[in-house]
Amino acid sequence: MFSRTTLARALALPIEHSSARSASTTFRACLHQATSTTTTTTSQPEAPLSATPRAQTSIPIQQPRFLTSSNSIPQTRADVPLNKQPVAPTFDAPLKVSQSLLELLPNLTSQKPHFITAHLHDRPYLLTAGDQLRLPFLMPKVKSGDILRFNRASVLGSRDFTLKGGAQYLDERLFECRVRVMGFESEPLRITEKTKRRRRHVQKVTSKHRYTILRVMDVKVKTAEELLEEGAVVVESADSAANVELKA
Amino acid sequence: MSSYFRITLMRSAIGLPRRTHDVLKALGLKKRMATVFHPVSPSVAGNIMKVKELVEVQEVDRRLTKQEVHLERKPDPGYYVEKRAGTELRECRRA
Repeated sequence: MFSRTTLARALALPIEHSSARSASTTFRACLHQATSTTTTTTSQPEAPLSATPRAQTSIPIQQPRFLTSSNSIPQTRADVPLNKQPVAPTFDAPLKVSQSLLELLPNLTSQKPHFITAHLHDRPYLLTAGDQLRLPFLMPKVKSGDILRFNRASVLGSRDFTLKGGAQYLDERLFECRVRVMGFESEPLRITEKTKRRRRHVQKVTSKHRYTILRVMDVKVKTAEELLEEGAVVVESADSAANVELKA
Repeated sequence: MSSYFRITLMRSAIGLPRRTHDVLKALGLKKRMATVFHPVSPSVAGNIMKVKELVEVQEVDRRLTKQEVHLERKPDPGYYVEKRAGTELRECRRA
């Protein structure tokens, strides 16, 4: 019983606090605020010391906003923002590269061939030019002969050097990875026999999945000159957008 | 400024008393990893305290729609179509 009352008191605090902060409170809210303040002030000495400051210092977390193309809040499964769809990106800010990256980049770009760890739907694929890749799914809305660009990579490298993205992906303006859709493959028909209890019948379930086959056309790491030509901005410290480092 | 509790059911209430199930039902949590939003109020806070071992709570600024909660987990596709199959051929013919 005691715990319940103290809890209610502790939890009444943040509401009263927040309503006091906002200027546009309705009359009813003001009433409620007045009552709650009186109760809290009378019972202040009994309140547990640990609960009070925690409740007062709480600030609601700002949640990320995903806006669809029509600038509305996504409601249904069809509302997917453009950055989560396979469309060519547009950039607002120029690429930021650190001085150390510019100095070390020639080591990587001069040493060919390159490999890339490209992420499709967050699954990593280790690729080099000339590789044939069978995706574990049928890629929608592509035909054989189409050229795709892979734009999410965690690692770029050559024999001796690697460029690592760290926690986030590498900036897509640092590299070019093109693949061509070769066609579609289907697995042999699989038949699974299912039996139910007390039923003299075997149910046969068939499945025949289709997969997309791709060939990697090129994996290219852009040189420092190319990056600067495309409008990259040199940032002194390591707080650049491409938070990367070269490791021998 | 109004704020909301963002409540996610991390552990199921299977094998727990009837009361616990009822509290989760009152909060609108039906299955694990389900997320609901409730305005910050003493009654909701009391409900959360009843099932504090099962849920994860954040205080957030607004309600998210179901699709927005889904989009938080959705990864980027990682590809886009640069050139369609026919366009290369047409360019060659023109040249």
